[in-house]
This record gives sequence, C-alpha cells and structure tokens, in this order.
Amino acid sequence: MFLVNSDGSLSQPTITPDPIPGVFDVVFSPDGAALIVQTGSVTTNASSVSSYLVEQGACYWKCSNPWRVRLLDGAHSQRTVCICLQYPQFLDLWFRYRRLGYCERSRYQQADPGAAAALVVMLSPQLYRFLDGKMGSRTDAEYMLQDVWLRVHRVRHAYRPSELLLQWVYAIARRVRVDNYRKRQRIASREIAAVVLPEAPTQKNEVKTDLPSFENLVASLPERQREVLTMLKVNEVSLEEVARATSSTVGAVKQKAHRAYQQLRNLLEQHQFAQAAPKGEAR
Amino acid sequence: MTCHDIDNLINSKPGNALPAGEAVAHLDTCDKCRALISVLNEEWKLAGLTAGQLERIQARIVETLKPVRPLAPASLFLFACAIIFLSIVAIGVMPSGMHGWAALGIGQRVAVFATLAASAVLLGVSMVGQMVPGSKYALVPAALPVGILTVLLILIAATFRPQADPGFVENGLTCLKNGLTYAIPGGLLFWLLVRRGAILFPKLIGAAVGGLAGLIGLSVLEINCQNLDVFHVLVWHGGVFVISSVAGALLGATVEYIDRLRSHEVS
Repeated sequence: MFLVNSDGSLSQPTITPDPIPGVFDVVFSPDGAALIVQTGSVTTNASSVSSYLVEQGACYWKCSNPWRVRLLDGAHSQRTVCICLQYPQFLDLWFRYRRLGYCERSRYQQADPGAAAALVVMLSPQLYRFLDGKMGSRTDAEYMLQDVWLRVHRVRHAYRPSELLLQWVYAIARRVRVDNYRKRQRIASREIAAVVLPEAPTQKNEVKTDLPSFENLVASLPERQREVLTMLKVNEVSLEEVARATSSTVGAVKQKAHRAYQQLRNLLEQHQFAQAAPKGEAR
Repeated sequence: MTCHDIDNLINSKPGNALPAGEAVAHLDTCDKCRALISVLNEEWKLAGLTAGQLERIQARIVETLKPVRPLAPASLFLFACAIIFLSIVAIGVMPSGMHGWAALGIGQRVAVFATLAASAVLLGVSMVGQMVPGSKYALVPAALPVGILTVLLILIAATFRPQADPGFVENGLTCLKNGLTYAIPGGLLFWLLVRRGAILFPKLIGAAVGGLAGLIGLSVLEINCQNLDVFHVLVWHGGVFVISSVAGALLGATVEYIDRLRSHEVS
C-alpha cells in the first residue's frame, strides 16, 4: 500500500479530500485490491466506488480489467478515472490502458521537475524489463535504460498529449535496444577470444524433467521475433501497441508472433524428444 | 481448433493470461501447444531496479529541464508538405510549359496523376508519422518507397508505348537533370520540416523524404516532357524517383552514422 506522489516519491496512502486541481495521485485502496486515480476534484475511495460513481451521475462500464470510468462534471468536461481491480502490477496496467500519463507528460514538457521524476519512477520498471533479458548483461540493460531516458528527454517536444504515452516511450526504447544490439555485434566481431574456456562437464545421467525456461527459449529466436514476443508476453503490450512501437502493422506483428510460436513449439518438441531419448536408451 | 487458432488466442490476450478455457479440447490432444502454453504461463521475474539508479536518471533529466512546445498536429505538417509539393511543381511547370500534359491522353492523365497524387499522400503520411515515435501505420514505412516504385513502374509500362527516340540518352539526361533540379529543393524543404520531430530511423525517413522529393521531380517531368516513349519515361523519369529515394536513404544513413559516432564518444 503506497502512494505515488507527484514528485515521484512513495509514501503511505492518503485519500485527499480536496486535491489540487490538475494534480492527480495514485492511491492503493486499504485492502490493496484497487487502484484509484484521482484527477482534478474527483475524490473517491475503494470501499464506496460504485455508490460514489452513481452519486456522481457517472456512466461506467466494465471493460475486462480494469474498469474504465468516465465522469461528466458540471461543466460537461470529461474526466477519466481508472480503477484497476485485483491487479498487482497496477502501474503497468494504468499506463497501458490509460492516457493519464498525459498529465505528467504535459507537465514534463512544461519543465516541472516533479512530473519528470514521477515519470521515471513509473515507467522505468517495465522499460527495464523490456531492455533486460538474454540480449546482454544487466549492466547493458541499465545503460540502455539511462539512454532511453536521455533520448526521451531530448525529444520530449515530439510527444503529442493526445497520443498514448506507452507506445511513444516503447518506440524510443526499441531504437535504443536495436542500437545496443548492433553495437554489441560490432564489438563481438572485433573481439578475439584470448582463452578458450573448457566446456563444463555434462552429467550424462542427469535427466531434466522440466521444460526449458521462457527466457532461454526466447533467447534462441531471431531478434525481431524475440522483440515482438517479449513485448507481447513479458511487457504485456497489445498487438496494436507493439505495431506502433516497432513502426509496423498489426498484421506484420501477428505474423512475427505466429512464426515465433511455431519456432518455440519446434524447440519444445526437440527438447521433449531429447528428454525421451535417454529414457529409451536406458531400456 | 488448430494450432494457428491457439496462436491467435494467445495474441488476443496480452501477458500470460492464456486462454486455457477456450482451447481445452485442442490442448488435450496437442502436446506442442500444451508445452508452449505452459512456457508462456511462466511467471516472469520482476526487474530489480534500485532507487539509486532511478535517482541518477532523475538527476540527469532534471538538471537540463527546460519548457518545450509540443509538436504541432500532424495535419499541419501534412498541409505544409502539400504546399511545398504543389508550389515546387507549379514553379517547375511555369518555365517549360505543359507540353507533357497536352501530349497525354485523358486516360493516361488520370492514371498517371492519380497514382502520383496517391503515392505523394502515402509517402507524406508515412513521413509525418515517422516524426513521432510510436505512430500508427497502415503500410510498413520500410516497404513503402519500394512498393510505390513498383506500382509506378508497372503503371508506366502499362500506360505508355514504345516510340522512336533517337536521342534516348541526351534527352533522358536533360529530363533527369530537370527532375532532380526540382526534387533537390523539395527534399531540403521536407527535411527542414521533419527534423522538427523525433527521428528514430533517419535512413527510413530519409528514403521517404527523398521519395516524396522524387515525386515532385517526376510530376514536373510528366507535365513538362512530351516524350511519351515508355523506355524514356521508365528510365529517366522513374530514375528521378529512384535517385532521390536512394540519396535520401544514404543521407539518412550518414546522419545515423554521425549520431552513432557522437553517442560512442559520449559513452
């Protein structure tokens, strides 16, 4: 249970009775099951979400998970409240479905240091997850994360508030990832192995019963398929968002994903076959 | 239900919330899909970022923070592109007259100029889209210049007929020079426009800028040049588009290379 403050720091939750207009806070409900995003003068809490919304004359609909709620205030201006139920990775979800990052982005463009810091806190974990993996070391991922933020900072004027934030950031992160990949390829092509380490002795009798991990399997896929699969399954981004982040079309993304699944199936089949072979030999 | 249907179901649900219920019958019989789904359902380890790392990033950003004006709407950039395109074509047509337009039949006019207009719109939209990371594309930007070139070549081959052309090279070089004379300033103006955005792939946007500039040259030639020999149009008029696109991509690649060197120096 914590509150993400506008300066990016975390603290215990407080339901603000009269929040400052234009500032929104993210609050975990007391039971930790709901996320309430407060915008402007909208104030609510987890225990009375439904009744509050009815009182406010809000029309709301359940859109799988999260619930997406639209409120109309007296001046008929629209204000959006996002309530994510029973979802632990709330910030990921929040940014994936909502345009609420708009407030922070706009304030970031107006040079509000608090908004910039908050964005770094909110988006870095999932960016790091996208950059991390079997592609390189952890140091690489940290370096890339820093590079992503520097590039985001340099081109922050190119964000249009009406656009979704996540795919904008992902497109930049993807570029950084591609650059880093090429850089490592260049370095690897010029490196000469000074010492060839002997292969670790394999235990012939050892039979693995588990399937290989997702991380290991994905590492053996071609770069483009790996990228699409990582975004879809690790970063939990939709097909449309992957298409936008990779400057591609939904059809092309689907095709890459399909090829990746096909290759994973083949790899898994080979693995199962390899597992079955020693058993057969033993007989 | 087939394995392909399972793929579609997996794609339709981001993350690892996989469609166990909807595909139980298939999963019971297909070992491959069952294994795939159990691998995809694996819990993903959360990244271990420390507060110190985030603070370092925050500090670097905050120390150079200045207000910026958000990029103008895409429609404004498209309008500017249209103005540049039409102005240069108009300027190009004025000195030499509309001999080519007069020589073309109505069917040829419709086919050629409708295709040129559609190509220009597609390239313009792609170019303006590439100014903003994460834009939506109906056609993959990397394939667009090649696709447009293919369509143009097919159209020219289908619309024009072979004719006697004694000065194939001399006339052709004159046309090529004329086309590039208008394509180059067009390309420069488009570049000035797109550099206001965030260019992630200079090579791609360079090809789009070059292609659009090439279409300016091609349009001018189609209006000016009265030589309707299919080979003349294919090689020399089409050549303007090809040269412009390739030059744009090469310039983009140079920009990319310089950026890489700079970032290498920084790191």
